[in-house]
Amino acid sequence: MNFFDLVLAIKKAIEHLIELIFEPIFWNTSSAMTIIETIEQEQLRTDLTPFEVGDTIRVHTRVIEGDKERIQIYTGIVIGRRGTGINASFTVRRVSYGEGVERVFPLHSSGIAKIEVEKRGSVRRSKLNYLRTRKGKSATTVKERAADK
Amino acid sequence: MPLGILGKKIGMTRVYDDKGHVHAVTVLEVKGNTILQVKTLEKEGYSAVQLGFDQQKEQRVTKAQLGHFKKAGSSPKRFLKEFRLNPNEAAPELGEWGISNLKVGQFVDIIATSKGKGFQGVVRRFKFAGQPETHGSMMHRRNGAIGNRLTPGRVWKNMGMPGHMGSDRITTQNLKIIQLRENDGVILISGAVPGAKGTYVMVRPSKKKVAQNAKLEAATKLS
Repeated sequence: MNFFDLVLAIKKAIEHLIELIFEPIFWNTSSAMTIIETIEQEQLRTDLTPFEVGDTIRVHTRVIEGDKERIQIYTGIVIGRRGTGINASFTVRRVSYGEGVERVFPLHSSGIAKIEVEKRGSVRRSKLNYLRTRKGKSATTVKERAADK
Repeated sequence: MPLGILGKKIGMTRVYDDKGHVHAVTVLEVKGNTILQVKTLEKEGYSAVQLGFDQQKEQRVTKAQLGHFKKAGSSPKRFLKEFRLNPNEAAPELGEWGISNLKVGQFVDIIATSKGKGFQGVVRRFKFAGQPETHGSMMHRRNGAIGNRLTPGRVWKNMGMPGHMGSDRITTQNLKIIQLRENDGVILISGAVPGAKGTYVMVRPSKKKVAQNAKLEAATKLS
């Protein structure tokens, strides 16, 4: 066995070792969903219209009064979205009779019947908290997005 | 008192009900509960049922224990607990004890060992206020005075002092069963449950909400 063969053999041995060490880690990443992930996955809603921060949307909320159920529409600007998966929620702000109102909705709740996008907004930040300090027209309007992507 | 079930804490998540409200829930794995022994008034002097949960390797149990499991026709179990029965209550048969014995909406008490916090001072352990951080105070998180003077001339019992915190047996009462997932072998309980993920827990029908549980029982029997 000459020197070259020896080097090759050592190289092979090292590669084999690396595989032994890392293979279990690779398996873990591709493992099946945990039970908690399954429970969360089941509840995710895919039927809602996608919307973004800055959009003016109409949220159709289910209101239960006694044993009757009716739909109430809440319209406003989406000033923020937070959370991922089942924890996702969004905040809708509107100015109602001169008073600013913000409502936080859990995105995947069945309390939301439907979401309609009225206007698509073009904004440069993910949270529009600056709208809170604004007065008049500038508090209720966001630059509209040009032609839809 | 009807039987409960044994389980293992998996973790927490949230669940929406049909009204769209969110519930924080703890996920408990309860697959593979087995009734290992029925204790009777005649033989043991009290009536109870011993449940076993979770697999244990055969080499990890003593021969005496192995005999106990064999007698019940079960594989070795890791977590064993006893549930007392009322004297006139009919004891169930040996063998599998499944989720079907629980009901959605039922109130339960959860007994488990809380997370260990190690050796802690009085501020963390007993919620003492401590002393000022500034204004020349050179004493910050100590317990302060522990007694009076000649009378009583001693320290009262139960005086809060530093020491080991956590790893206690804790009972959380009156938690509601939100969901039973028979196929996954998992139950969802509203709210938090003592212990870390992987802690073994004992689920027992609530001691206080007896009337509500009885009502639920009656309602399910009618339908």
